[in-house]
Amino acid sequence: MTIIYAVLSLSGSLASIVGIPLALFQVGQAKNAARKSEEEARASKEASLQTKVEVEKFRNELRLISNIVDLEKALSLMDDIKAFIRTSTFGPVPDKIASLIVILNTVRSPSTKLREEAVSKIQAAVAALRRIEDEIHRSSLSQVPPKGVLDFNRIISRHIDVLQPILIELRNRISEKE
Amino acid sequence: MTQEEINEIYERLLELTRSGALRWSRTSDDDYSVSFSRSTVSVTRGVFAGDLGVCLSIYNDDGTMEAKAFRGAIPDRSSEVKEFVLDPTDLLDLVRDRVLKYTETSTNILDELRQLDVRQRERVAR
Repeated sequence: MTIIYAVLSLSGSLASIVGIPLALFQVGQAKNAARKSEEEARASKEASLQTKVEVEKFRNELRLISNIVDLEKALSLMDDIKAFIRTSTFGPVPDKIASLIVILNTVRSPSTKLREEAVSKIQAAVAALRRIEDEIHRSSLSQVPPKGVLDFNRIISRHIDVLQPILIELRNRISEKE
Repeated sequence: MTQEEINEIYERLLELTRSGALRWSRTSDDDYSVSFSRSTVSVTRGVFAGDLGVCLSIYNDDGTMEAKAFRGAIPDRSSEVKEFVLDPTDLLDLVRDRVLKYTETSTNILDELRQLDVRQRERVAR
């Protein structure tokens, strides 16, 4: 009986001697696995954030390019309007001005992040163009030449001169990004 | 928009124009405007309600006239453009002076004439 007890006690002690380091080894392994998975999760989160930043950057660049194209279109429309006025072909002018104002409103939207001074310059152009549009509309109803017609092209030219630097500023933003 | 707001806008325009904080530009004959980010104000001499006078007009972000203020305005008139009673002659005079630089030009001429005079006297004295 004593022998059996001694054998059992010895085997228990042996099991403890082997079991404790084994358990410690397994705990270590589990810790490593947890650390690894945590690192992987962090890396994946960082990658996802980076992707988000890249997507946003790409979206901003697209918006900037689209604004540049819009402003170029606006300036070209202003030249078209001047040509119509020069030849006293007032018929298409109100529609052209309306389209032009839509474009200018897009360019000055908050997403473009223009300086306040640039936004005020666009506002000045919108107000001046609307006045020309109103005069031409009024003249088409009364069949009398528009009031101040001689000034129209001078006014539009002045606004082209003022808007041109905004276009340059937007173009420079692309070069800065590059 | 109320008469009180128009009065305040006018007073502030006067004050800021006097201090040189506002950049007015000449739109056409006796017509000057200043634009903010979402609105434009113009001051014009012309015939309003049958009388020769000065009118202060306010345009919204779309460039549409929203309100005008002049001496013979009828505030109760039902119209898309609200009317307010105000005489913006002082503002027009001030804006004209700033844009056309009357004072600046006369000061420059006087300065140069005075300098020439001093030089002339010095020459004579020698």
